[in-house]
Amino acid sequence: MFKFLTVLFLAAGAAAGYFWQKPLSPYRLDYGRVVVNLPVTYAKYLDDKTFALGEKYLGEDLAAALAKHGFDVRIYSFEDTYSNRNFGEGFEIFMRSGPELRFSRYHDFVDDDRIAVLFETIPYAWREVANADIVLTGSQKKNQEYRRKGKESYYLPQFTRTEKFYPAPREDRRTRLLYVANQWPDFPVRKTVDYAQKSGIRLAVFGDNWGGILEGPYASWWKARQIPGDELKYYYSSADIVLNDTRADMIEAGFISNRIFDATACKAFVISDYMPEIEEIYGDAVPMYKNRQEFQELIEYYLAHPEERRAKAERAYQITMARFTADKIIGQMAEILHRRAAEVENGKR
Amino acid sequence: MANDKSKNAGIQSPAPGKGKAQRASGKERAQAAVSTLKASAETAAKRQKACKRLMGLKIAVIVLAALIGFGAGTLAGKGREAPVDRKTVAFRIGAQKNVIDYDMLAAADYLDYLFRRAGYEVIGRSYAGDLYPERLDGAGVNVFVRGFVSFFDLRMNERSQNVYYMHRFSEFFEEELRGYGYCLSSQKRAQEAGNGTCPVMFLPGGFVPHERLEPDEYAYDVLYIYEYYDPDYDAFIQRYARPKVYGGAGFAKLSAEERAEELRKARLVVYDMSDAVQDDAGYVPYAAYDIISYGRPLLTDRKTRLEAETGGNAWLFGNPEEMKRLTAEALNLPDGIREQKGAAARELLREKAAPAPELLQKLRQMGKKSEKSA
Repeated sequence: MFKFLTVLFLAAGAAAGYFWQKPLSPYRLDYGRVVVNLPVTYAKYLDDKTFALGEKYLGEDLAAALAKHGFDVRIYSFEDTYSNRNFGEGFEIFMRSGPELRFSRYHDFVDDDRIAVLFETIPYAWREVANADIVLTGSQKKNQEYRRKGKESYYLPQFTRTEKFYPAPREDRRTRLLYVANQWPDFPVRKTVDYAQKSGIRLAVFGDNWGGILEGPYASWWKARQIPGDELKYYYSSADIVLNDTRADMIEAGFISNRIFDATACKAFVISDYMPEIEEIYGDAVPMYKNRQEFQELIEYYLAHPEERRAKAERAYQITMARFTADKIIGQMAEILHRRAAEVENGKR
Repeated sequence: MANDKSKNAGIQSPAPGKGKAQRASGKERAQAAVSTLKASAETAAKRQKACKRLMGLKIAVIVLAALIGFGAGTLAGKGREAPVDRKTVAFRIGAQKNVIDYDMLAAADYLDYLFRRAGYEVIGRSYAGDLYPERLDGAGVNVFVRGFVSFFDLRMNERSQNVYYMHRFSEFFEEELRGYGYCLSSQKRAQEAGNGTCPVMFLPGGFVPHERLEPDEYAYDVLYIYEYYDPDYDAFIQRYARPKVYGGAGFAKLSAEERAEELRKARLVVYDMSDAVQDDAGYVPYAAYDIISYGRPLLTDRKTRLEAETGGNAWLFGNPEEMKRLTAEALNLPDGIREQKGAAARELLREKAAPAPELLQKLRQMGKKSEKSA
């Protein structure tokens, strides 16, 4: 009798315990999973190493860095978003693709449990930002503005991946004045090329859409439409001077281009257009110009002073390593995501 | 009392007149008897105590077993997913509830009707923005009803059957057919695209049979329901008594009873299709069928199929001028004749209302995948 009762209570306890656990929804999301949405139409382009779009490479770097912090990350093109991948990601990170296509009344279409994160690397209009649940912005000014408006926002500058960008000089990739950038369609000619043409300074240009601009006597400046992401370090490391410029709206909002972080991580000597945010971070380790004359003077001076170039490049490198590596920046991002995930899972959101 | 006797059975009282020695030995015997009694009482108490202890131990073991079982059960139950019931269907609609128009609502109602006819229990509908409510977790068949734009980042329960249904579209990608067990479409465009991913079964328009609505009195001469607003036509119908105008979404927001009541009170119902979406040329709106299913006189866009199915008992226009002319023509008829035409169209369509057996058979098959896991 005793044995029978013991077995009976054991079984009853097991059944009670089993059914006491609330069954999980088959539609629940996994907050350890992240999708990075890119403004790329077809999935096949994600494997194209020469695809001319900066966000693709930034997205790849972001995905790799998040994976190091324990997230299961996938990169989606537009095609992936309507192909029923059924990944069950808790977080969707939007880079440039979001506002135009997906953020229009986001949670009218997507259940509230999926968290939309906007990684703002170029300035957006408020109506676009307002749809994100979390905003990570590369601009201190924007961060303050969003917080004033009640948005959950964090300052998160762009970053560099030290596995990808490190000093690796190669003689066969050497250039004097290196400029890696796309010409934006329907925009005025970019400052660096414009000033160089007017100053008679010869550049080595790598990037897309230069067809109508670098022609005739300038045709030889344009070297290639794209440098594959994993080769960029050789070019940065081997150039005498790497030139940087920034879109007017990015300067106004205070977004620093990630070119600065990648190039300095390769111990490149960088000359940039003026931004107080760059000055605040790098001091005079990254010399800056405010007009065409200063542009010309800086280039001529530093081409003639390689020792100074090396010293400044070393200082800029130390600053980047201390503050702008993916480990540091994406570590902060991971912390924000983990915190939000914990809040959702504990029912606080 | 019987117990007392037995307890005293070994004790004899000293006989009167016997000697001191005898008395002394009697006392000793009595003392011995008392000690024996005490000893046996102590033994009994000890036994009882031991028994109680054993009982307590047994209870503790049983409680422990229950607790161990509970713990093991909790561990085993952790992570279990909600079971699915193969005989249940959920409709997950890719548009927000407040923007669904009359045509889409009628299409969803028709699907609902078909699945019930095939033997399923419909457990509910959900809408974009809240597509995965807990109450629908156990659906064995999930019918994803696409809105005018595609679903994105859809979630599917792999233990249930996932069915795609496309009603109408403004933009269509063949990749959106991936991942489904079955695909249905009321637009033939999807059929061609589905060959490489999910074979698409064409679902022609249909309707839920309704009782005929016969008006006691008319509240409106014209009930104008539009997909895209035509201000010119709106101005035209103002000449008639109490015209009533609804957008398709506005009309869909009414309850089923309110919709029926609005249809019942109108002399003529006008359903104006939009040409802004990419429908098949012959597509007949479910909304038009719904109106006919109530026996209400209908003026709508000309469709060859509809003309044949109603035997010319619906007014069909090909352009805005004809729309106005036919409105006047229909309203100039005596009420009885117009009502007769509405009833005749309904009768003709009723013969076609019963869904094809092969369609029902296909729908029944859909639940089979989830059966194994249920």
